[in-house]
Amino acid sequence: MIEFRNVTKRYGKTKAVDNISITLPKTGIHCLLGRNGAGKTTFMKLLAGHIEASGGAIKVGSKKISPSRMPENVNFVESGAVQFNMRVSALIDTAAGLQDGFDRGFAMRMLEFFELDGKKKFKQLSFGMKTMLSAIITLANNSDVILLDEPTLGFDAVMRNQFNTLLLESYQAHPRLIIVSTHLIDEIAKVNERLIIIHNGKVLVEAGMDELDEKAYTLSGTAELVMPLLNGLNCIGQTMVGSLVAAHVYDRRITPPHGVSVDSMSLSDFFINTVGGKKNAQ
Amino acid sequence: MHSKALSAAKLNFRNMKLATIITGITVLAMLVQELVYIILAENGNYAGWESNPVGIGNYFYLLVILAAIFIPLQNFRKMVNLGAKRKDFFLGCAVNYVILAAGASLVSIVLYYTFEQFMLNYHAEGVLNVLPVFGWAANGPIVAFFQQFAFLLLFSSFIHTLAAAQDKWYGWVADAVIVVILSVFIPIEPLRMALVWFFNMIIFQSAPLQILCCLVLAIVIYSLNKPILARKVI
Repeated sequence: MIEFRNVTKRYGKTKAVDNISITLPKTGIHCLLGRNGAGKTTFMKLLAGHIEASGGAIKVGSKKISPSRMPENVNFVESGAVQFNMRVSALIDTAAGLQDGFDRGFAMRMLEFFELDGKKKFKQLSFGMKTMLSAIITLANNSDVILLDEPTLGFDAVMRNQFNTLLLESYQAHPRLIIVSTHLIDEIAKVNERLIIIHNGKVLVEAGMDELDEKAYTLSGTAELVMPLLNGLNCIGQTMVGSLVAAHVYDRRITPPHGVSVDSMSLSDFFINTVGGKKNAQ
Repeated sequence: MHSKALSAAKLNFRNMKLATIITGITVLAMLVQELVYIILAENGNYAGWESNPVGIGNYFYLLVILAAIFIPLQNFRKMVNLGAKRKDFFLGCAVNYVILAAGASLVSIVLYYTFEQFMLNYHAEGVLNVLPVFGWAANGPIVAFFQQFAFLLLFSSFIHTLAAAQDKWYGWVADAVIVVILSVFIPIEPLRMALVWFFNMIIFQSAPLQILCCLVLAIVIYSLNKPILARKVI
């Protein structure tokens, strides 16, 4: 289990992570969402022990994490990770030598699946392929916690779909906690189980996808029918066109009257309204 | 020895191309220069040029120095991206420097007793080499090997530690302190004597003490990498 207790990380006067307290379970695929500069990478680096927290405590299991106590069971690769300019197969072999329990078989299968040429050197790969290779190396690790920062950066639509397959294959082979930070919200929604939204260094939402399906919805209809329904509900955003209104709600489900429709909210709509709407989810 | 540390050491060796190329080109250039000099001399074009060339073996010091600069500056982040831990990098680099210091010392000794003796036929003024200059050659090749090895190990530990700290304020403070020590200590007699004492300790004193001093100092200086690595941002 992972525990962040009142964790703050300052860069000069800027708080990249602002007093976060959160507990994460041992297993599951978590999606970490946030706008650029929201604090996602800092959150991951703190958890991986790559940087020191300015305040608070981070624990993985019973072990307190810091750069001098880098956790053995957490593996993090940031977006655009630079690798040695070696052949792809040599990089896999080297990673296997550097990590306990590295699943070389899984890595080689994935190289074949994604048609990554093992003879090519790292610098000869396209940006997307470089990212894919880093993701494969990370997922072949047998760590209890895997952190992937923007793993689909530079991927085309087919590769993004393939990445989801890779993620699920890895998770099924070795159930553990996988946290994926991404901007491609609806694509990751196909595989993730829980969602964490970070905004201005704070965790705004930490919920399961089932809970979001239940609580995040849109009420559409005329303003005179919809607006009274919002009393007592947590409305995270509204769109008005003439007399029609679409109100985005994150709260208990209601049974709407005739003339008001209830639609499930897409993850991207939920995210946009949560971090960019007039009100935030609570 | 930890197998992951050995993998880290192996990875460092595989990625020492730049240091190897620079050293190779330097050695090759000096060899060509020396061969041209010898050919000219053999053909009667030797006009009594006064020259004290540096022994070819000493150029292999360059490999140790460059490796100690490039490894901490270029390899640390990449190694972590492959899943290495800081401890493995720390231990792996130590293995690298022990092997590099031993290798450079061995090559230097072999060249001193072979090629450089041949060079002496063409350089009446002698060939400059650390081994006789520091007095190590007088102790025979085996003791000289260990003296040179210990000195190179200390040298590489010092350079690695300094390079590893360059992204932090204390790295710059260390640079400034070294410059101040050299510029202030030399003109002031008592301080200069302290410097002389220090260099006597690591170079000129009796072989066992010199080796012991160098090894102890190398371990102490290299140990400073633990807190430096712990604070290194990735």
